[in-house]
Parts: sequence; structure tokens; C-alpha cells
Amino acid sequence: MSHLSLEEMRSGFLGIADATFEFQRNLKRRLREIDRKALNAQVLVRRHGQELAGYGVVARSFRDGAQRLQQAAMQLQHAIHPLMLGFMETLRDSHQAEQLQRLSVAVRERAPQLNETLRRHQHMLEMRSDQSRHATLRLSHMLKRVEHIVTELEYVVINGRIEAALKTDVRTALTQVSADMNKAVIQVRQLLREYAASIGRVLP
Amino acid sequence: MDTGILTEILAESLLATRQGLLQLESNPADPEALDACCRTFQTIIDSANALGAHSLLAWCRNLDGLVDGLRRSALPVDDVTIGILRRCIDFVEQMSETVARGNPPAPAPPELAESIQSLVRGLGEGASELLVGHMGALALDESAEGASARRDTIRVESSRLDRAMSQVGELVLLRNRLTAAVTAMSPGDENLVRLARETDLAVDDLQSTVMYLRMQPSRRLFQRLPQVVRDLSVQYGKRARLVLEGGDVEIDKVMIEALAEPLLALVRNALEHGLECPRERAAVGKTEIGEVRVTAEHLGDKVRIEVSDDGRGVDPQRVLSIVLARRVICQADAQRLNQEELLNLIFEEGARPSDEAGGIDRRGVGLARIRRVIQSLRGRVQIKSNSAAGACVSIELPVSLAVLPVLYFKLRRETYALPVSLVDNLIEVEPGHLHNVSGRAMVQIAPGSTVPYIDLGQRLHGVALRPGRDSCEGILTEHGLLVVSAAVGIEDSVVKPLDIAHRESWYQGATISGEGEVVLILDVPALVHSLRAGDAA
Repeated sequence: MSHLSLEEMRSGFLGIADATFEFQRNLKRRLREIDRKALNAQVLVRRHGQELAGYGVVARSFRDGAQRLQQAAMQLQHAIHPLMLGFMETLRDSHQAEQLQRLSVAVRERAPQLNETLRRHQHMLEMRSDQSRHATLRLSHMLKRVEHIVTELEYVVINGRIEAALKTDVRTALTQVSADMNKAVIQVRQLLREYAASIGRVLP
Repeated sequence: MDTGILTEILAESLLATRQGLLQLESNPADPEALDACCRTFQTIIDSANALGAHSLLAWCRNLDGLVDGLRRSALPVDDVTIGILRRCIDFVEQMSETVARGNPPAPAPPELAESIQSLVRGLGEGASELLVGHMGALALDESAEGASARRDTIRVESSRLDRAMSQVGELVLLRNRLTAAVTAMSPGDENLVRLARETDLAVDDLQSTVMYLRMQPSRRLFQRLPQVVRDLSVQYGKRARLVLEGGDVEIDKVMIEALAEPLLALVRNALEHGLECPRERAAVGKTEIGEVRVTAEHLGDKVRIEVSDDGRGVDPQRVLSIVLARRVICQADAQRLNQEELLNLIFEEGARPSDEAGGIDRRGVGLARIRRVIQSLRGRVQIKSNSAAGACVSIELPVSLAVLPVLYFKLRRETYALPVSLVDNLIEVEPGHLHNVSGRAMVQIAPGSTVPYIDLGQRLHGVALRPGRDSCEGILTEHGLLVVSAAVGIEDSVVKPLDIAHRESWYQGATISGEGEVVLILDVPALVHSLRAGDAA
């Protein structure tokens, strides 16, 4: 990050802030959608009773997965906060350091404390950089965890589709529910991918 | 064995015998029908013997002698013989009822004894003596000897099963609380989660086992129908064939009892109003013998019972004119209904016509009352009709009433529930898809599909939910899209009646959720009916 100019940093951080806001808004909606689809599957199973006991296991696993995903998403939100805070503090320190560096040599010689302040700012910047790196690592770890749960959900959906194919009487209804679940999971996967890409562009 | 149980077995056997006699009457040469009659007579004799009611036993042996005469072709299978047998069965029924009350039965009517005597004269001397010997005084020894009927099955008082079911219901509620507590306390403790799951499955199995203990075959529900069809055919001068299918389909005992009268009423309607008389049928190219079909089938955890006939059907426009005249529905609402919906207005209060025509029940259990009974059993009833092919009334019921799967939903901070059986789908509410049609809120749920928009926030709290601003979710039902704050989850619940509710409550009861919260269970049909009545007013 240190090689970037203040303007580049500002632009990058704002990009991440926008992407984060969009991600949080969409994730909430998509997770609700996944939970709704899981509930729909459970309702379908209940309406058909013992006949769909096998699919009941799928529906329950999907709902459990959806709830784990919500918990992981909540932790992901917590991981985003320190990163955004670090960005804002980095921008502030960078701005102040740049202001000081712009002062003429004569001015800086007359006020020896300024050099000390500048060194402090640069030290803070290095600290912020470390903190941001840690926050980014944590965020990346959380994103991977969410992706892992999404992969589990995809596996559950595949099982659901197999189960649906085996049930001749209610195949249409089950296939529709499975397709809905699949679509909801794909949307979350896509959302995660886009967000990870947005962060990767600024924080490689 | 318990006297009550024995008399119950006797009553069942008598009904089965009546049915067998009807079959024999329609097909005298059917050896299977004759064998079935002999078998049920034998059960009657066994039951009478076990009861220790000697006079009853003697009479039953008379019947067995007569049937044996039929089997050996010593007696003709004609109207006279079957008529006498039927009267004998009636008399055995009277006797068993008297015995059940702890009283000695009255002697046989002399004319019945005479009829039997004249009949058995054709059986040969030995048989005649055997039969006539039992026609004397009917002394009784009611000291039940407790004869043990050795069978693979046992009979249990239904109240014991009800108690077991009620206890399982409590166990289900505890299981729900345990699951919720484990989820809240230790999501990471795999052992505890596994234990809760295993408990969950074990309770499910137990619930299912106890539920099936109370199940009885639909055949019991159908038993009275052949006699009714036969009697009404004679009364109305019609010719009808009754077809019964799905007698083995099992239903909760409570439903069998509750459905007996509504089913009889539907069959009576089919006979009285649906089927035409033979001349009329011939004139429109139908066979002279009309058909009334009663079927039962399983649909997952539901049972569907259908009563159909191939008569003249029901005219939706006629139903409409009646309901409009009686202000059951307003003109604006009527215009929005399709033919099938119009037809189903027949179940509304006040839809009964006062004149002869119309094909609608005018006596006994009315259609509105039938619907109330079905709804009280958490089922639904609908009618389909085709003027050429007749009418079909279809009843869908849950297999059991013991446990009700519900969907919990939030309305702002409060939790409510509604039966899962009503839920078609859970969908997102798009503000752009809301419309106002003739002053009524509608919502487009799919291209070409618009349904009533029922804001439960407005209806239950008096403050509307605002899609796009408030948290909103749609629960699609056959009555429309119920708009709530959020659907939360499903659970098996046990319904507790609401004693404090006034007569026209929108709630069918309450339950206790896994979180230990008392939750009201919405009665959606009652709510929608009330909304419709409000609109009509």
C-alpha cells in the first residue's frame, strides 16, 4: 500500500467501501433468500409427510447450512469493520504526513519538532499498514470460511437434486425447490467472488 | 374381554353382515358374498359367546343355520330369505344394545319367529328342529364368563389411546424446547447436537407409532352407505350403483366419527339431487343406472375422500344468482371469480336454495355445516361439476389431528403460527408488484398470476406493513399472499384450544413454541371469510 499515492489510496479505499456497502446489502438479502428457500423445502417435505422423509434430511441440512452461513456472514461483517477503520486512519495519517512533507526545508529547519511529528506519522502509517494487512488476512480467512459453507450448501443441493430425481410422484415440485435453492446458493457464491475481487484489486 | 369392546365387535360384524346381504341381493349367485356373510355370522356368534349372552347366542345360531341353508342351496337366495335375514340382524342388534346396557333382551317378535319357521320348513326335518328349538323363551345369563378370544390383535379402550396421544403431544413440545435450547446454548457441541437430533428422531417415531394406533380403515366410514343408497334409491324411484374404493385407507378415529354424518349427507345429496331418474337419464343418453362413487386415497400425509356422481351436476350461474340474492357476496367480488370459485360458493352460509331445483342440499347436514366440520378437522372441501358428467365433492384432510406442523412467522416483534398445510410458497414481496383492483389490494406473484394481498400487519395489529421500508415477506396460500415481517421456521405443534376466544375468532388455538413462547395459530379461512364478509357488507 505504501507505494500508492494518496489519491490512489483514497480511490481504492472508496472503491472497497462502496463494494462493502453493496456486498453487505446484497448478502443480507441473498441470505434471507437462501433461508426462505430452505424453509420452502421444509414446508414441502412437511406437506408430503413420510413420502419425502429422504428429502427432509436434505431440507434440514440446507436450513442448517443457511443458518451457519448467516453466522459466518455476521463474523465476516465484524471482520470488515476494522479494515474500514484502518483505511480511514491510514488516509488521515497519509494526508497529514503529505501536508508536512510539502512544507519547505527552511520552515522545517526552523521548527525541528515538525520532523519528529513527520516521523511519528510515518511510524503510525507503518503500524496502520500492518493492522490493515492483519485485517485483510482476517477478512480473507472469513471469506474463505463463508465460501466453504457455500460449497457445503452446493453439495447439499446436489443431493437434493438427486433425491428429487428419484421421487417420481412429486418430482416437479422437488425439482423446482432444488433449482430455487441452487439459484440462491449460486447468487451468494457470485456475490462473494465479486467482493473478493474488489478487495483483491486494492489489497493484493 | 371388556363387554363394551365385545359389543363394539358385534356392532361392526352386524354392519359388515348388512353389507354382505346387500351384495348378495344384487348378485345372488356370488359365492364370495355368501362366504363373506358366513364369516361375519361366525364373528357374531363368537362375540355373543364371549359376552356370555346365551339368548343372543341362540339367536345368532339361528342366523347361522339360515345362512348355512343358503350355502348348501337348501334355501333360495331371494328377496324373502334376505328380507327375513335382515330383520333377524336388526333383532340381534337390538338384543346386543340391550345386553350392553346390562338388561335382559326382550323375546323375539312372534311374527319374525313365524317367518323363520315357515322358511326353515324347506330345509329338511333336522335343520327345522334345530332352528325352531331356539325360538322359545329367551332366558339370559349375563354373568360374563370372560371367555378369552385368542387372536393376534387386542382391543384397547379408545380413551387410553387418546391419553397416550396427548402425552406424546406433550413430549413433542418438550422435544421442540430441547432442540431450541441446544441450538441456543451450544451450537459448537457436536455431542449435544447429535443427542438432540437422535431424541428428535425417536420422538418422531414414537409419535408416528402412537398416531397409527388410532387409525382405522375408511371402510368403517363407508359401512352405512350401501344401505342408505339402497333405501334412498327406492324412496326417490332412482336406480343407483354405489362404488366404494379405498376402504383400506386409514384415517384417524376422530375423523372417522366426525365424517360419518357429512359423508352420508353428501351421498344423500348425490342420490336426491345429483342423479336423474331412469327416464330422464335415458332421455339424455345415459345408462338408466346412475353411479355414486365414494373413494378414499392417501396423498402424502393427507387423505382425500371424494363423493362423485354421474348425474346432472351443479350450475355455477344458479349458485351465483342465489348467493347474490342473499348477499353472501357482492357483485364486484363475484366478477373476479372464475367458474370453479363460483361453484364453491355453494359451501357459504346462506347459499342453500329454498326451491326444489339446484342440486344443493336442503335437509339434514347442510353444505355450510359440512365445510365447518371439515375445517374443524383442519381439512378443506371443494366441489367440481360438469353438467354432462355430474359433480364431485372432494374432501382433503390430514391423516391425523394429533400433531399440527406449523410455520412460525414474525409480525413485527410478535410471533404467530399458521398450519404448514396452508402454505404454498414463501416469496419476497416486491413493492412494484402491488396493485389496487376495484379498491382491493392485489399482488403479482408471477407473470400472469395475481392474488389478493392480505397485510397481516394491518389485519392483526391495525398498522400496515410497508414493503420496501419495513421487513416484509409473503406467505402464499390458496387464499392469497399473507404479508408478514418474516417467516421464521417450522415445527410440530400441539394445538391448545382458546377458551377465551369469542365465537368468531381468527385463531384456531395456541401452541407453545420451542422457545417456550405461547403462540397463536391463525385460522386463515376464518380470517379470509371475515374479510370477504366485510367487503360484501
